[in-house]
Amino acid sequence: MAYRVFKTGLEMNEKDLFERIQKGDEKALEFIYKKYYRMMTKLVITNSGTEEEARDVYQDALVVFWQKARTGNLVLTSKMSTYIYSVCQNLWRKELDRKKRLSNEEKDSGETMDMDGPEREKIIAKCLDQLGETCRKVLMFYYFDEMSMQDIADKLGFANTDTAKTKKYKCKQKLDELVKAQYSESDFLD
Amino acid sequence: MMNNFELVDDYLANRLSDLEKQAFEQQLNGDSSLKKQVEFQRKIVEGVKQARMVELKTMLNNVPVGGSMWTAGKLATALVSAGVVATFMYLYVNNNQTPDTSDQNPLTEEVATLPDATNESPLPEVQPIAKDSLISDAVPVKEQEKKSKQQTKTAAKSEETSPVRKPDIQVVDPSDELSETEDIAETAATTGRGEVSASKMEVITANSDKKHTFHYQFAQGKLLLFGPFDKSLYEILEIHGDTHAVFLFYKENYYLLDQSKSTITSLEPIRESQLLKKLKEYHGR
Repeated sequence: MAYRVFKTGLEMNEKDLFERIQKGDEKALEFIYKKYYRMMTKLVITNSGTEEEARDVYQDALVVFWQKARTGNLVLTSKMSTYIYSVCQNLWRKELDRKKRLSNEEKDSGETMDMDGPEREKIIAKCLDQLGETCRKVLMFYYFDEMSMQDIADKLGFANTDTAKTKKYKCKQKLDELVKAQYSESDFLD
Repeated sequence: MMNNFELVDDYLANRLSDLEKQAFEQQLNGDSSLKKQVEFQRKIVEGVKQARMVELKTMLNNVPVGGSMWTAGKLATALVSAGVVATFMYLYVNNNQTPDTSDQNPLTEEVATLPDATNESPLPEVQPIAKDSLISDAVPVKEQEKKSKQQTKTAAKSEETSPVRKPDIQVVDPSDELSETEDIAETAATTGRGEVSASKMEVITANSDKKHTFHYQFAQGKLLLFGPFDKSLYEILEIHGDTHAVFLFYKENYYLLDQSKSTITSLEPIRESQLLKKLKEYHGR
């Protein structure tokens, strides 16, 4: 029911919806996701992709859209859907190229994929979880969403920006320690 | 160290002004230890970003989007899908000899695998739509118009070549008299104990031609339906009581399908109230 109220409130004004995204309203992102789901996934499905690939591409595109909007790196000159659609197009084109390259490499049977990246990401994700919810949020908001200390303080209910700053500093130090404990530094950089 | 840490962090978090950034990068070029520190931090920051992306994607994954691509949309689409699933089920049963009605649920996979399954079909010429139903628990079957036209023709021709395994259907006593078959039907419906066992019946639909606008025929163990069956949902009910009988449910009417009829027979709705009552009871189960 909450959704319905939200929907009618937002459908009227795309600008308002985009502003909500810029402010970090995840419900607005969910709303957009649902609204354009068929339109965007169809693009991939009709271009030799599976439904799963279509969903994956669309989600990636929305995450790109989210981050650009959040960090102020996106000035909309067209409709949101037009922008998201073009991101989907690019991502799917890249994925098709990657697949093509991969099948060529298989024939040469030479190159191995870089497995370190995903492995490292997994370890960092695990360490982040160990830090607890507040630290996790602070670091994600700070690095990915590029939120200001004021916004982080507001969003997570800290007394002021100094608290947010200190929190971020401590959380980051702790994360470094945890990651270092998992890896010797040289291994990590390899 | 603290200063360095903050500077590196601001650099990686994109918080430096262009000038500051330039200055830092110059410093970086001449300091290998700083460079190493930046590389280490960069990887951690990338990991944090990645984790956030995964988190957002997981959040989106939990947003209901109105069903899968295959079933969303018009009812017609869903009905066609159901027909396709039924085909798959028929083939599945034939290949594995282990009918399992629980396989009706995952629409998407079944539709997706259909082309392969069809190729492996033991029926090179016909691609019948069939059903696998529990007795007195009818499953709706719907088919596509274009295919069925061809199917009927080929089905009729392929009698001597078709390697089709005959469905395990008990045949009722041959009789051409409607009154008698109605008796059989009624006996089956009224005395049926509703035992549940798997049964298979192949159903082929064809567009009505001038002669056969609403008819049926049993040929080579298959049921052929002539008429506008692509327009609306139809169901086949099989009742195994003391006698075996097959019924068609279409547009609120029930029709007896007499398996002893190998000629094309016109479909007449059942009017007998006692029988209708029983049929509705079974149908509703």
